[in-house]
This record gives sequence, C-alpha cells and structure tokens, in this order.
Amino acid sequence: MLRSCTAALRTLRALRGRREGASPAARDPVLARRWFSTEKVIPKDYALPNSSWSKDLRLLFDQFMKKCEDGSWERLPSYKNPKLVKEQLSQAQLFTRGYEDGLGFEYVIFYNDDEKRTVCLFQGGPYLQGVPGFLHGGAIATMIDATVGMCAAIPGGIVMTANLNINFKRPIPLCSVVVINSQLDKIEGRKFFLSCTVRSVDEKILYSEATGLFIKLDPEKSLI
Amino acid sequence: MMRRGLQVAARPSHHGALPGGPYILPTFIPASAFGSSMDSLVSRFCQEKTDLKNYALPNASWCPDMLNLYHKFLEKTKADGWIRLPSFKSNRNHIQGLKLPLVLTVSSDKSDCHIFTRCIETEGQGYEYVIFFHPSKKKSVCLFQPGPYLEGPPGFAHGGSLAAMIDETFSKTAYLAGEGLFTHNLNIRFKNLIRMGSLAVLNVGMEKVEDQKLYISCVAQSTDQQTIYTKASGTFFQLQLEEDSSQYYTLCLQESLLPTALPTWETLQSSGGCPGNSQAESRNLALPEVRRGGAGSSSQVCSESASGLERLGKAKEAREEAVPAGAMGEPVYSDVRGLIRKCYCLALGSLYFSLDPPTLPPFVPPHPPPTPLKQGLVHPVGP
Repeated sequence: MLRSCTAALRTLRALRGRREGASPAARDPVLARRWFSTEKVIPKDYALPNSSWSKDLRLLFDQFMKKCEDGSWERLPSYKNPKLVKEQLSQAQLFTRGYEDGLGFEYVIFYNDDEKRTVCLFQGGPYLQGVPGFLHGGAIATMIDATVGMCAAIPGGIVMTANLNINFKRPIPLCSVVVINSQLDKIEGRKFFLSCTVRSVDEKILYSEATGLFIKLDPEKSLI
Repeated sequence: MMRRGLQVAARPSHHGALPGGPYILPTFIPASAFGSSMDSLVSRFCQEKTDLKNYALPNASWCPDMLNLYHKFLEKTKADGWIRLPSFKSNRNHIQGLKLPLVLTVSSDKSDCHIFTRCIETEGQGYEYVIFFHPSKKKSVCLFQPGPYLEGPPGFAHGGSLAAMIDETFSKTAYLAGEGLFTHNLNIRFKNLIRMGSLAVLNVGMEKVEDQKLYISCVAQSTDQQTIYTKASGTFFQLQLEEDSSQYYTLCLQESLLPTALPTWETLQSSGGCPGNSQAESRNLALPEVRRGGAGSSSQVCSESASGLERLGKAKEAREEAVPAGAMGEPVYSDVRGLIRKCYCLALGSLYFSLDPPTLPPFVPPHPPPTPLKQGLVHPVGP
C-alpha cells in the first residue's frame, strides 16, 4: 500500500544516504523538529535482531546478510514513524511496527534488484493470534501485503494495492518463522503483477500462495 | 463428598444419564454433545454472564456516525432478530467448553495470546469495531473505525488492517453460520482508501456451503453508502470443534477433591501402605510432550498426539490393574494417596498445559469409605 511506499522511499533514501556516507537524521530535519529537540534523533531501525528473535530467524538473517556482502541482496531498514507529509504531531505509526519486541510482527525484508524479488523473514508473536495456537489470517495478509508492496514499490515508486488474492494452504502456528518470497511477474503500463509464496524455514511446507496487483499512482492526481 | 463432586462434575459436562453406578463420573465423549445447531453455537459464543472484558462496546473514541449506527442496530436486536456479538481478548474465550481437534492442537509456551484485532488495547488507537449478526439471514454487519496505529498512507488506514478486519468478520460469521474455522481463500479488491477515524460499514453475507467449504462475501462502504472502500470474498473450511473435558476435571478438583475433604494422613497410615506410587508415576508419564513453538507440520502433531494417546492408554491399563479389588463394603483407603498425587498432577498439568490441555481418560474414583457407625445410633435389638 501507499504506506509501504513511503516507508520504501524512506528506506531507499537511507540506502542512498548510507552509500554517500550521510546519516539519515541529518537529511531529515522534519523528524528532529517533530520531537522538539535540538539533538539529532536517529530513528530506530526495527529490521535488526532483538532478544525476541528465535534461533531459526537469526540463522536465516545471518544467511541473508552474507548474501548481502556481494551486493546482489540488500537489507531494507524499517522505521516506525514515517516522514510526515504535513508537519504536525500525529500519533500515527507504521502498522506493522506498533508492538513491543516479540509480541507482534518481527520481520526483516531483503531485496534482490537483479531478480526483482523480495524475501521477508517473519516471526508472528502472540498478539497476532486467530484460531487459538495459530496466526490470524489478517496478520498473514498484512505481511504478504507489506512484502509484495515493497517488491512493487522499489521499481515502481509510489504504488497502491488494487487486488490481493491469498490462498491459505495450511495454518501457521503462532511464534513460528516463515519465509515470504515475492516476485515481480510483469509490468503493464502502471499495473504491477506480482506473486508470492509463504513457506516454512526448510521450504518443505507451503503455507500460503498469493497474487497481487499494484497500481502506480499518478503523482498529479490526489489520493481520494 | 463424592456425590457432591458428581453433581458439580455433571453440571458442565451436560452429558446424558450417568453410566454405571452413582460414584462413577461420566466418560469423555469426543463428539460435540450439542450437535452443530446454530443456536447452541451462538449461545456458547455470546456469554452474557462473564467477567471477561467485552471490547465491542461504545467508548469515548467512537465517532458520532459509529455511535448512531450502533444504537440503530441495538434497536434491531430487540425486534428484528439481530444479535450483537461480544468481543473478547482471545478466541479461546469464545469457545469455552470446546477445543480444536487433537490433530490441530499446537502447544506454545506463550500464555498471553491476544486475538490480532484486539491487541491494541488503548481506546481509539487501533481497531474499534462491533459485529452484529443475523442468524436466520446468515449475514452480519461490522462497524469499523480504524485508529492512528493502523496507518498506511498518511491519514488513511493500512490495507493490511482492513484485510485483517475483513478476515475477522468473515471468520466470526462463518463460524456462527456454519462452523467455518480456517480461512481457505481471501480475495480483496481495494477501491478507495479509508480515512483514519472515519467509519467503514462492512456488509457480510454467506453465499453458499459446498464440499464442506463456506463461501462468503463482503462490501465495505462509507456510512452514506456513497463510497465503496473494498469488495472482498472468501472461503472457509468447516471444522467441528470437540468438547473440552479438562474443564470438569478442574471443577472436580476445586469442589470435591480438596485435600481438606480427603481422609487425613493419619487415617491412611493406620490403614496400611498403598500402591498409589506406581499409578502416580504412570500418570506423570502419560502427559504428552509439549511442543515448544517452532514451525511444525500437522503430521508431526499427529504422530506426537498418537504416541501421547498410546501412553495414555497404557497408563489407563496400569491404573486399572493396580486398583485393589476389595471385598464388598471394605474401604479402599490404599488408593487415596495415589488419588491425592493424581489430583496434584492433574492440577499442575492443567496449569502447565493451559492453552491446550491433553485429552485425559475417564476418571473413575475409588469406592468411598463407608462412614463408621456413630456410638448411640445402634438401636438395641428388642424392647
């Protein structure tokens, strides 16, 4: 969705900034003013291991970080508060980062520019329960939307979810780690067609499959 | 003591006539005793007399549109057959007395589980919603107001939060209308964005039931029905929940088998030793292993449950063999020590496996000791 796009734009800027050697806060005076502080506030990157991450998640994270070393893959940083369009105090925060460590969404997204695909390592916490003991379908849908949206936003810029079709094959146990693979299939004008699978860590179990259609927004038109 | 325990135990189980003698508790029947009628599902779902917090009630954060529609539907609950569905912290609270089939039982050491749409507790910050259900028309209406913690595009609700709300409304409707439990497919077409803090009305209807799958659809629109936000459709698998027998075991422990109600240790010691130790050990071994988190396939759960059942079966055989066959009317004090150990093990077990207690074999208490004759009550024979 558009939210993931603003997050994507922010992460892209952060990536470019890192390459150029600048710090994110220095190029983001809006954030500093918002906190009414003269100190440079460095936003916390949530796409990094914390104490609630399980062993499986850490192992996978290390594997992908090794893949990042040769430049084919990139880890996308993830922040809680976006750059605000209007300079006003808002309680809003990114939906998927609004929980304490380990209780909600614990995830990190890696992007491969050559293959145009994203991989999301996701661990769902106890606050995402649906049927007792299993992950809520809406939580899975949110993560699929976030991963697929990021896959569309990086090549496409500001995009919006038009359609999401998810087939749930097996229920995902709570607090387990899954790998969400998203691939850009084709682009037709402003339409981005993507597909996605949700698998277990060893790739033996297929939990869900999904297809998505994202539309690149016309910058001249308003959102509503 | 035992009779009182029986009465208490019989109350939550709701089974038919007690088999066997008066001191044998009813056996656990895996199939649903209520059947699959919608009325029983709805009445079990909507427990009015409960201490649990009901989140589907108005609070200060609700916008005027939401309050108006809420009161309008509340009027309809009185005359038109609509039911306001309560909303608790966890889905477990909605299915009290029922549980998932053993093959789908997943153990986890996290006890503080919240349903996804009720995890943001601060009023007005996350999901504010209430669902009204009409049993005979098999449709429901959800009044949904997204808060700032659900933001996606600046000032608008995240697509994922709306997907979650649609899935949640679908799942409640599918469960009450036809025991639909797991989402099979979800297809959402986003048309317009929902402004944060405004009301979205989700009109959900069940279309058909085919091949044990429920087909359900929804249109989310604005209060004045001028703007359509999303159109969605989904399918759910039908799955009948099983009766959860662990609840009446816990009640037995609380009401009738408290240590104060049992004979004292002095009485036990005076009657001699008891072979209760072996029974307690076999009972301890019979508790199935806990699978701690981690991704696991259903086949793994099946095999573990099956091995757990085998162990339970062996424990039951060991227990039946170990019960001493006393003569008619003789007290069986020797089993009481084992009984106490069993009670503590059960209590500990039901606490430890608080999420998904294992299926326990029927509990058959030993014959109660006859009350000793009090002096003075024996009437002398003759005038």
